[in-house]
Amino acid sequence: MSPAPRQTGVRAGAETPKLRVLQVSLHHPELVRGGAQQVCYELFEGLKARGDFAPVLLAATDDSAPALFRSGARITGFDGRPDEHLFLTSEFDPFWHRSSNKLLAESFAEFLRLIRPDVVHFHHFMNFGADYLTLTRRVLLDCRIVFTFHEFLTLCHHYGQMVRRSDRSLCDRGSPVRCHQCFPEIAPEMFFARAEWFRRHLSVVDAFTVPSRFMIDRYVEWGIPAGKIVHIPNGQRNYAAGVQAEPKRGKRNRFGFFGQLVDGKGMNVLLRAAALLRAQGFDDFLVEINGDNLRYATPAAQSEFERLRAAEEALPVEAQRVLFNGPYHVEKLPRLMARVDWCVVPSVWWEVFGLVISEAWMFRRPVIASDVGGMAERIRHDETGLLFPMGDFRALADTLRRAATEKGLWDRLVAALPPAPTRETMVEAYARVYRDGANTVQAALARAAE
Amino acid sequence: MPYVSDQPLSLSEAVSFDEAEYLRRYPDVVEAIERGKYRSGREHYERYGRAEGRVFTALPSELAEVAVGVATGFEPSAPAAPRHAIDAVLIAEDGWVCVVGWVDDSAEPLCSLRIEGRGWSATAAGRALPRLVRADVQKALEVDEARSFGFLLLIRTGARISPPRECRVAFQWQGQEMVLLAPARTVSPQEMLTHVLTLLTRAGGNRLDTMLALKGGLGSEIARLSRAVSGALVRAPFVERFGDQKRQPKTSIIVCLYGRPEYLFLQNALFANRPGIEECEFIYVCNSPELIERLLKDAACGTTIYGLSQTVVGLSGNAGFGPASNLGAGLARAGRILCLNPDVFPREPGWAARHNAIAEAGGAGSRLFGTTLFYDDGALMHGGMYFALDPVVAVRPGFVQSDMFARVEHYGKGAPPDTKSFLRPRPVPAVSGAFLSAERAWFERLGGSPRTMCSAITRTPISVCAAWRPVCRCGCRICRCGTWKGRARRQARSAPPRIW
Repeated sequence: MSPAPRQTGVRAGAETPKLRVLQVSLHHPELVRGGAQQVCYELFEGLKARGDFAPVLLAATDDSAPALFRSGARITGFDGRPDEHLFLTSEFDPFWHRSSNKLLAESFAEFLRLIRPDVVHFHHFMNFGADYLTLTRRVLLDCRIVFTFHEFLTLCHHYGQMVRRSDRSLCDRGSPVRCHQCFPEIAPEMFFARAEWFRRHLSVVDAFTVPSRFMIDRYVEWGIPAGKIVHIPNGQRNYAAGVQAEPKRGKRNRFGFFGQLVDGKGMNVLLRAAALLRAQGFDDFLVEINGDNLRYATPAAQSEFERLRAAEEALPVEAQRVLFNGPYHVEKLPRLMARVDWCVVPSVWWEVFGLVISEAWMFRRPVIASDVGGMAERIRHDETGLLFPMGDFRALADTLRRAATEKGLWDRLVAALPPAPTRETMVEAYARVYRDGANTVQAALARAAE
Repeated sequence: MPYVSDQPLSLSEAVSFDEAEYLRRYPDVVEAIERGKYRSGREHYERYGRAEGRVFTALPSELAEVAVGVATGFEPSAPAAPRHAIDAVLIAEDGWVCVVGWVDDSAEPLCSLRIEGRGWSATAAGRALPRLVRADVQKALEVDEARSFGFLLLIRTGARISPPRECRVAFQWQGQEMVLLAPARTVSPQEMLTHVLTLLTRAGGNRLDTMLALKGGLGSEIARLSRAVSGALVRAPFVERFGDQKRQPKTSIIVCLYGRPEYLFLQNALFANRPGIEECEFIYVCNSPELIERLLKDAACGTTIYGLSQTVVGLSGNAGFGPASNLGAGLARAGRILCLNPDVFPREPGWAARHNAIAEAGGAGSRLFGTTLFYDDGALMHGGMYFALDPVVAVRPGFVQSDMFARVEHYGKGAPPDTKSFLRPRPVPAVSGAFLSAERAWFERLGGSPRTMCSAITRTPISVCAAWRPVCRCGCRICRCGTWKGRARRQARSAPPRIW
């Protein structure tokens, strides 16, 4: 483990200097929405609000924002925002997660030398390169390097989701042969080499964090030392702050989906469930689909979504039970959450945390979710929410009907909802990792649990 | 009356049919068209030419039917000549000539084959002509048993020649000569070598047939051509050095790259920052010119990220493993050479320090040694190499022909990784070029890596070290990714184009 971050210029009796923390993000949430970059930005803003840290953000951007690529530049400012920078990635290989642009590596090294952070916290290596961890260690011998696993990209080339390409079943263990089965065009030994590549660069990390406990076992089995991993739930600012209490309602039959319209989020499972309910003669419910990025779904998923949407919108307005509200910004959450009683998270992958679950809890909305991964870890079935078998739209239909009709269920679940993890709690936990390292924090958490 | 063929060209014929070539070859067809008997050469071929076995392409493609050669100057009263044809004539300006064809001389052996160009000629005795099995010829001639109808003549005329548009090729039997005018194609020596090796890999029949052709002189000519090609390539390398070149390394690690660029950055990552590696330099010799630019970038990144000292050597073609290794050795700055395959990675972090210690300690077995290699799944891949002899037979009419061939084998291949008998240091007949550590002075005294391909057909390098008395040592545990048929599939896709 590297020594504690150096604190320069400390005189006896002098004020403790701020710890400079560089947050490295795969995207800026202003440019591309997504969970990992959102959490990174929450942490960045949370650290800024404290007086003892000097955070800097370096977020990558790719050719989805070509206008931001200034000629000859590799790292620039962002939108006039202080301490926020853009890394203009190029020549990025998504299998090896590295760039062959040597000027980018040189610019990153120079940036590190200029900023001289005490802590470098990587929320990803995508769009930078896994070898940037090693580069960071080489440039800043004394800094503490922290890495957060926001999904399973190190273990799984299939978008880090650990979902088998053959039958879309969940995968719980990667191996050269199993990965080759998902990608027959890539030799097993290449997956072996890929794993070695990642292990090599992750070996310089001082502390790892994961947002859900079940990820710890997965990564320890892969090779991360158990003593280096800390569980820190993702926290967010409270979007429900200042929202007035809503009047009581008799029926609790309004369901909301909030998320990207990509395969892993399972929006089609919800649409099929709604269609089934109607076919069974039950139509006393409403589903609101909030989200965007259908273009990133697979063609099959896009096609099915469009078909179900078209069938719904072909019905007379009074008969429609599914509304498509389009994309949304988190600022709209109060209004959107007010229109629903339940939040549905029908994800068909492990869903390592599910920020939307926290957002639902902020607005005291119980969650109906798939019974796997981070969802099953956070929600206790029939106590703080409802779980259904992942991908089973019939079971989801039954759950929706129960939720809409069972008297007292909603009130009971709402009363038992835990508070959503706050930004401040998350920042405090990270502050301790930055200052004290992973195993010290682990020991403290263990003592607190006793 | 409109012509409608009742036997139109097949798809392969239609693709390959060359009207101009057909008319050039057969003046009688031209005369018949002028008389109004046919409207085109194609019509003649459909009606009669196909049945007569006439040729309709300049360079027959794989899709074309095998054409039975029709000699110029054919006299109906002369005895029927054995069927024969020329498939291709390749000429390189530095004097290499390659003639590919076939002849059915089972009834009457061919006496000689003579080829003439502008101001030069070459003759090969029939019995010395390297013969190959051609499945396509067999099928066309409707012969069941595999016979070496094909031939592949590779010669150097000894002087630079001006490639002609066509050559005169004379087949000579007892008292009879048949002459064909064959179009000549100008190629570079490297292209000629590639085509020859490709033809050998596609030759049918028994292994013995191909091996006999090689032993009969073709092999030594291929080796000469290979040396000429490699020699030209390594004479003008592009060399770029990265990182600290002032420090004197103890070991120069030489890696020959071919086809896959990712091994450079992978080795950079997995070898860097290990004990002892700071005393090593890396020399990457690239046998794939299309990768040079990418490798230069990756090497620059590697030096920035890991602080490695490395050199990238670019060649304008594939010089082969041996010549590339020798070139790397010539650029090495250390007194110790370590030839390493690009798909070899360390299993233990301290391997470099251990290797350097063994080399410095000197003594028996340190002059040249290899190490145990493992597959990515952990099984043993190498515990040293040896040679086994196998009889290879071919059943001929009336007798069984045989010869002995050496086969390279590996001790303990696939064994569990802790099988002690393969892990202890001991003398072995050979060690793999995948990990071959040698004193540089001794390496140079012995002439370096074999410059000729030991396996001409597959072009895979075999590190023949029998005379060097190598030792296989354990301790520098190395993991090798091994090969997968997918890579072979990939290589097949990038194989050279058909020569005809």
